[in-house]
Amino acid sequence: MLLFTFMALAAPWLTPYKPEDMYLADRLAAPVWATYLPRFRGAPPTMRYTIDHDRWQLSQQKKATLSHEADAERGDLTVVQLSPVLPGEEPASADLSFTVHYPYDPPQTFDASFSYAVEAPGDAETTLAYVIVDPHGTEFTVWDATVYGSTGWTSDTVDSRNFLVKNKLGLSFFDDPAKVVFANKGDYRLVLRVSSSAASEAVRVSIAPLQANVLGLLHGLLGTDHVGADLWTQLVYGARISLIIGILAAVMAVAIGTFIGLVSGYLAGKIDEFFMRAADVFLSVPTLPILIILSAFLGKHIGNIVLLVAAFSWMTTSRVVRSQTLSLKQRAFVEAARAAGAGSRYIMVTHLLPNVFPMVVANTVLMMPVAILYEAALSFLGLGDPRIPTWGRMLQNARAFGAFTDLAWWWLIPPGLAITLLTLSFTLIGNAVNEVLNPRYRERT
Amino acid sequence: MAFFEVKDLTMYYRTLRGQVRAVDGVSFALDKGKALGIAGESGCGKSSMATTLLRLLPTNGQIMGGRVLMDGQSLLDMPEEQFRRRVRWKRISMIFQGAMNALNPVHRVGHQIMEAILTHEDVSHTEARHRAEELLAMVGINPRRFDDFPHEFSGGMKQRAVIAMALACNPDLVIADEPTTALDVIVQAQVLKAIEDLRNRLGLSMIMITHDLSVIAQMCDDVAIMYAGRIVEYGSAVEIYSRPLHPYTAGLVRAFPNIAAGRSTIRSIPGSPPNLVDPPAGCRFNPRCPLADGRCRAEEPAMKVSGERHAVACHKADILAGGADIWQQQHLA
Amino acid sequence: MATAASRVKVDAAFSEPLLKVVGLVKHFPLRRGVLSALRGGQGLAVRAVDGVSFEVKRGEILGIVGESGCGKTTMGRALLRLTEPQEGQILFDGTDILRLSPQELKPLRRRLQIVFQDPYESMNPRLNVYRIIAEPLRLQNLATSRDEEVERVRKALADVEMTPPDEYIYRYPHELSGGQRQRIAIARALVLEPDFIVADEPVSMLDVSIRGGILNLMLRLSKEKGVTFVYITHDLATARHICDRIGVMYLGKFVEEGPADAIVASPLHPYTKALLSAVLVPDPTRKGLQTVLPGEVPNAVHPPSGCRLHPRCPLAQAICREQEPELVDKGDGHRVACHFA
Repeated sequence: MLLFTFMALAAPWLTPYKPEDMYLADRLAAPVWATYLPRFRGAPPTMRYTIDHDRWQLSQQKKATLSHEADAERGDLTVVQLSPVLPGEEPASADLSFTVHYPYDPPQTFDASFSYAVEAPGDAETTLAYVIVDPHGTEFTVWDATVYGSTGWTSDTVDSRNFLVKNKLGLSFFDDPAKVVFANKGDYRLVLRVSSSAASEAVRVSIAPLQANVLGLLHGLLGTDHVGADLWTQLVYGARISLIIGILAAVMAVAIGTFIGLVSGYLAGKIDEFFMRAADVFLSVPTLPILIILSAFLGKHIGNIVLLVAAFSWMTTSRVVRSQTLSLKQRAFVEAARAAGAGSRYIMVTHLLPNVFPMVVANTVLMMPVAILYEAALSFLGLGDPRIPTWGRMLQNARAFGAFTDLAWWWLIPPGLAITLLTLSFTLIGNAVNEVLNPRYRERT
Repeated sequence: MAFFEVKDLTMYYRTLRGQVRAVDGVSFALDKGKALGIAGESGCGKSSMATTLLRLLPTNGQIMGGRVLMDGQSLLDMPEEQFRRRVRWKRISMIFQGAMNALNPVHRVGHQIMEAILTHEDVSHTEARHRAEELLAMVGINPRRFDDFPHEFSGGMKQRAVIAMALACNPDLVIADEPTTALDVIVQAQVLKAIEDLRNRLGLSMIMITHDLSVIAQMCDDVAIMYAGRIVEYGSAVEIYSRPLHPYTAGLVRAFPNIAAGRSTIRSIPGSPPNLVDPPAGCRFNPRCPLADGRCRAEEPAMKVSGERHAVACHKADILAGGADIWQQQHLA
Repeated sequence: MATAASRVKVDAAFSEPLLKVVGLVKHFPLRRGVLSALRGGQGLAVRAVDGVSFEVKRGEILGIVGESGCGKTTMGRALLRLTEPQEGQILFDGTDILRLSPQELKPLRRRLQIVFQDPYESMNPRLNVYRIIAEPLRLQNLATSRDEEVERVRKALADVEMTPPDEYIYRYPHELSGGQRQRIAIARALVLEPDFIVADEPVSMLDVSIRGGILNLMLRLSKEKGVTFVYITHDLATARHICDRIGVMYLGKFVEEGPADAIVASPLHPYTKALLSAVLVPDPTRKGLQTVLPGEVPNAVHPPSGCRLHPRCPLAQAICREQEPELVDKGDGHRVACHFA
């Protein structure tokens, strides 16, 4: 209980992400600690690299030099200067390498994005290629581009899910480039190969810092969902909402119930009949279906859920409070107040309510898990507010977006477990409160 | 050697607030066939003592010391199983406070008495039934009402049924804890008469625990006055009522208005019984006693014999022995 | 210096009854089965108070004595209209309080108060002593300022000998002993400065050594402030010692009524005689255990015909079965309802 409250309150500090952040890792990435399980032992974490001048290494060059330049907009530029070559000669080229140590199983995707600009004479033919060299030396060209003459800043991305990449590697639509490229464990080199065959002048290729990512299959405390958003974040923020909904709806339901119970119990007669029959009606309606119908009718707004849950949960409290009132109103101190001239309202507020209060508190605490469960149920069925992340919605998304098929247990179990634990903790606290606050110490001298 | 002897019995309850010294060094003796009355008000520990004698303590009750002897045999260090089989209900039985509630409303009265017999003795059902019917007759209930349920009995009849249950195994000693407190005065007279008759017929010894000095005056030969877990005065009924030597006894006796006497002020003792977790130092009655002085507040008085069959624990017993009415000074409050 | 005329007037005022009850009847209907309801007529009821008439003079203490089930508690509550009687009149200072509307009744409640039996139950455990005593003042809008309210509460506490008042004002009921609680209850009744207090078994749940204190307090209040008391009890011994007059109730009716000394010294009704001989005396030299009256109090739903005591009465004759005796004055205000008194 405390844990969850803490989670709810401290949410922003517990996780660096917001629920809306996506693509933090590959879809359905497992939690980092899942490496303890055999299935995930070799899974790669997300690796992101920003490769700029400092990190490129010139691994091979022919008639090329490397320098760097600062650019206000694009940061530290790496500039490759290629000298002109004579016709018939091999083109000038430079290999910019960056070594990555990769001891894991193949990932599912990788991508890179970069910008480049070429300053070249009109007759120059400059080629840029992005090559991945695996530990055995096999070269996989995943992207290339040929520039005739100059070109201004051009941005491009390489994404292994892209058909172009697959094509380039000679794979079919259904194959996974990542699996092919990263099949082995060891040191990989990301190579940006620049070559040019310009006759007249040198060619300057400026390369802005390159962003290369390998979307890991491991991320964070609880992994990611189908769009790569961090599940831990969702859980933590969801805690807030679930708690708020639970507390609000429960307090409302109990307030209504207490009022009705007191009035019904003390005033008896027709009012009592009316309220109790109303309670019967509400009780006999199957709650979940009616909630479903009404919320579909009223729209998917969080406020509606709170109101609806409260409207269908007041009955138990009212019954309990009413019976307590019935026994309390016989007690001598109520008669004493009447003997002094007290009216009904005075008695209900001053004498009955404080004595009913412990039971009301216990009831409130016990009602909260009910409210939370209703909200979770509604969200799970898709009737929740899609803008608000709740645990129920997490479960709904999980179901809808393939957690079951891919056995992404890290998505399915935490929200369900969280709901269970929260409900359990409320129930236990409620029982304890009940025990403590019930009238017992009748000290007789 | 007396038939039943209690020596320095001490029993405390363990509670969250500390140890409640419910019974603190209580001693008395009872001859066979006699009745001893233990008088005291709420919070003096008398009910606790009764349950201690029958070894029916709650889990937080602990016997801290003392001896209980019946016919010379020590009862407290007997193994539980042996006590249960040989002593409890067979030699000593008890009539509890609020005994009417001791009857199970869904079982027939006669059967409940039978159950008491069958639990403790190895007899056939027929014989148990026969004895139960006899017992009912003995307490003045028509045996044909054997199959009635408790709600069909009146309050006095229920009480008498419970008395029958207490006598189920022919005990030698019956402890009665406030047997008539909840009853109306006419019914009380009936029940007390029934008890008295039974005592005489069966030669029962009895310990009667009650706050009602009038009941003790009628039923008991000896009286022990209990206050805050200790016995403060002890002697024959006649002695105690006519010549009370302890201030508390004097106050208590005068607090019972005598309907046979002329109109007079009803006396009362100011203050209230002490907390048994932290009783007053010295004599436990000192906060309420008009005679209390420094010695009373510091030193706990020991039980001293004063006259034949009369013992008292008070530093100031001589003042009362002189016949002074120490409670007269109080104004009408 | 009072003149003879004014003294006569004062005497006359004091001899008019403050409370006059005529033919009070209170039944509690029992739930009826369907068939019984269909058959119509009156259903079964517990006839708690079945035709009671008496008077209480200003400043006197009237004791109503009876065993459990005789209806005395119900009658006490009816006197304050805490329960609505079916029939009868309750004339308080000439006004029939049963005919008043709730608005008219409320100011009258200032003058009629009650002290209940159970000192543990009669106070809201969540209120402290100050609030408990101040409540009637607030309900009746009697105190014009906070200071006045505090003054009156303190005075009430002083009247019941709970001094210094400040020591008790902020305590809660569970912190006080039974006797102290009952004094608070009396203070609560006194704070309105009533003319009339019904005390329903005020000491039966207290330890014996404390009872005297409470009863003597009532006596003193009666003498000093002229408060009229109705003391309801089952204990004839205490009634004898503090009451001026005593009424004996059996199964919802008065069977005897008269000055306390007369009732105790020369009882006329067999039931009164039985009660008296059943009262035990704290004197070991006077043993008096005897079966005074066989059987027990019958069911108030089906009271015996004629004189209600006849199934148990040693004097019962045919006439007792057939005809219910009336309360007849035998002289000096000593009334009895018996064919053979």
